[in-house]
Amino acid sequence: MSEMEKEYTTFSGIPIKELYTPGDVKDVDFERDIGTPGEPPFTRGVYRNMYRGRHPTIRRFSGVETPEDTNKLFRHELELGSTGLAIAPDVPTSTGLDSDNPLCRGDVGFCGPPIDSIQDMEIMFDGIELDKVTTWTYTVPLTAMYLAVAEKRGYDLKQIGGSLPAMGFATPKGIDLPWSMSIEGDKRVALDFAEWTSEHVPKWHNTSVSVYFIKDNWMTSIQELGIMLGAAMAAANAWKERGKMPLETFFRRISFEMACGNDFFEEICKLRAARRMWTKICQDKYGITDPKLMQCRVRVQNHGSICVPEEPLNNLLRCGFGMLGAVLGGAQSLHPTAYDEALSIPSDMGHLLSIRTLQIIYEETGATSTVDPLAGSYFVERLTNEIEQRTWDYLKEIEDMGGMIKAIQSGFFRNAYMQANQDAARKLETGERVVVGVNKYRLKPEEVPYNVPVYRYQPTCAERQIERVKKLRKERDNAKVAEALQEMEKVCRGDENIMPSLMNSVKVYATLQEICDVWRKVYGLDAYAKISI
Amino acid sequence: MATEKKAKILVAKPGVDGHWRGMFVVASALRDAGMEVIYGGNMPPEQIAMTALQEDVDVVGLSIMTGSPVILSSETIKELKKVGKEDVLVIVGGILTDHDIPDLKELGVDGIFRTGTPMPEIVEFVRKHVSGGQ
Repeated sequence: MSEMEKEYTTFSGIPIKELYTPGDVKDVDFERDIGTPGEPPFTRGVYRNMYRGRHPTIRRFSGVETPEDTNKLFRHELELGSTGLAIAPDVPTSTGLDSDNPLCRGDVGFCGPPIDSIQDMEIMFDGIELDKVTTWTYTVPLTAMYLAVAEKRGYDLKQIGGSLPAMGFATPKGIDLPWSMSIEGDKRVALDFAEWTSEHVPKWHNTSVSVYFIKDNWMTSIQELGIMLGAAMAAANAWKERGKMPLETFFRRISFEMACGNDFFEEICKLRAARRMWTKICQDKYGITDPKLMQCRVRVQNHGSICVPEEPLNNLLRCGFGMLGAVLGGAQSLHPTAYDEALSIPSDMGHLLSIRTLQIIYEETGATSTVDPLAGSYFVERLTNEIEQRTWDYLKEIEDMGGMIKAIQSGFFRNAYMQANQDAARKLETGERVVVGVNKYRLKPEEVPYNVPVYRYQPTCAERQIERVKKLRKERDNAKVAEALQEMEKVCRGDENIMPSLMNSVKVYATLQEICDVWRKVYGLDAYAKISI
Repeated sequence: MATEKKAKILVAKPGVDGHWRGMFVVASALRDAGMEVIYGGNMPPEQIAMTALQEDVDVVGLSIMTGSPVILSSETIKELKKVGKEDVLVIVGGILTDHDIPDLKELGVDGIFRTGTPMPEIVEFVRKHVSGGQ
C-alpha cells in the first residue's frame, strides 16, 4: 500500500493526522483542561512535583513454586531495588482451591506458589519487614492472611500498607471458571473488606479497581478506560447504597490498575485522560470537594499478550518502551513484564532485567526530571482529548444498558472479549497488526543468534505442598476451625461485617478453600463469564 | 466428489486455569475452517475423556497456559486410554517450554503447538491427520 493510501490510526482505531498544529488544540483551555500538577483536574499528574518526590514503585507481580522459594525471590527483588511486592500465586490459590483438591493436580506450584493457609503466608514473608514494604495481595482471603501474619508478628495494622483489585465485582471477569463466586457474593465480600480496612488498616488501598485483563484480551484503550471508570462508579454507587460509611471514605484510598500495550502515545494520553475524567466524575457525579480524594493513582503493567516466544529479547524492548510511556504518562507503580514470560515464568535474568528496565528509565533517561514533559504537544493534547471524548461515549453506552453490573450480566463485555481476541488473531494473520519477528522480518529458528535461559520447574513442588496441607489438616485444632467457619457462615447470612470472622478463620488455620467454599455455598456461583464459540 | 464427514474436535482446558483466550481462538479458527468443534472450557481429564468418547471426536485439543503441560497431558491421555479412546488424535497448545517438548512427545502427543503458532498451521495439521478433515 502506498503512503497516500495507508490509514494511520492508534491501536484503538483513533485516526492520526500527518501533522498536528495549534488548530488541533484551539478548544483547549490551559487552566481548565491541563492545569497544574497536584491540582484538579490532575491532567499533568496527581502530585505537584511528581517523580522528584518519589519514583514510581517497582512492584513486580511475582511468585514461584513454593512459599519458601517465593520468600527467597521477594527478598532478592528487594535487594535488587524493588520498592514493593505483589503476590502472584498459583492458579488454584487465585481461584480459592486447596492444593490437595484432586481438581488441582497439574496446577499446584505452577506459575506461582500455592497458599493454602496462613502458614504459607508466614513463610513467604519471613524476614521481610512488613511496615517497610507495601504488598499487593490479590484477593480478600489472601489479604486477611497477610494481615493476620502482620498481627502475629506484632505489627500495628495501622502501619501496614498494600493494595489488591478490591472492587472486582464491578469489572467483567477476565477468566471463566465453574467455581467463581457470584457477583453478589463478590460485592458483599468486597464492601465488607473495604469498610473494615478503612477503620482498621487505613493505609490499605481498599477500594481499588483493576482492568489489567481488558487490554490483555486485546480490547482498546477506550474500552479499558471506560470499564475502569464505569466499575469505579458502580462500586461507589454500591458503597453509597449501603450507606454504612461516608462516601468520602470510598474515594480516600482508591487506586487503579491498567495494562499498557505497544502504542506509545496512546498509552501516555490514556493515563492523562484517566486522571482528568476521574476528577470530573468525583466532582460532578459525587460532589467530592477535597482535591486529595480525586487523585487517580495508577499502577501499570505491560500486558502479557504483547510478549511473544519468537526472538524473546524483543519483548524486553517492547516492555521497556511501554514502561517509558507509563512514566511519561504519570503512573505511580510499575511492573515491566519479564521478556521471557511467553516461554515460562521469569528466569533470574527475566527478573533482573525487569527491575533494571525501570531503574534505567528513572536514573539514566531523564524522563523523570520534570513533570509531564509532553504537556502542550499539539498531538498529545489532541489525542488526550480524543480518548476522553470517546471514553465518555462508551460510558454513556454502558449507562444506557443500566450500568456496569447490568452490562456484565447482559453478556456485553463477554462478547467484546471474544470479538477482540478473534480480531487480534485475524489482524496477526493478515499482517494488519505487525509483530516484528513474527509476521514481519521473521527468522527461521536456526537463524536466531541467541538462546535465553528458560525457567525449569522442580518436579516435586506439588507433592511437598500437598503433604503440607494434609499435615495441617491433621495437626490443627479442627474443632476451632469448624467453629470459626460456622460463625463466618452465620455472619455471611446476616448483616454484620464478615471481616472479623474471616480474620478469626485464617488465624485458626482454616484453609483458603474452606473459606471460599463457605462463600460459594452462601452466595452461589457466577453465571455471567461463560465463554462459548 | 462425495462429501466426507467433518472432522470433530473437542477443545478443552484440563486443570483449573481460567485463561481461555488460546483455547477460544484456536477453537474459533477450527470452526471457521469448517470443522465441528466442541468448546469444552475447563474440564478435569476424566470429563475430557468421557466427552471425547460420548461425542465420538476425532481430535482432542488441550490448551495449557499456567499449569504443567506434562502432568495435565499425561493425566488426560491416561483417562482417554481408560475409556478406550486411545486412537484419538491428541494435540496440545500453549506455553510449552523446551523442557516440556520431549516429554510431551514421549507421552504420545501427536501435535505440539507453542504460543504464537499461526492458526492455519494448526488447521492444516488437523486436516492432514484426520480422514475427512476438509
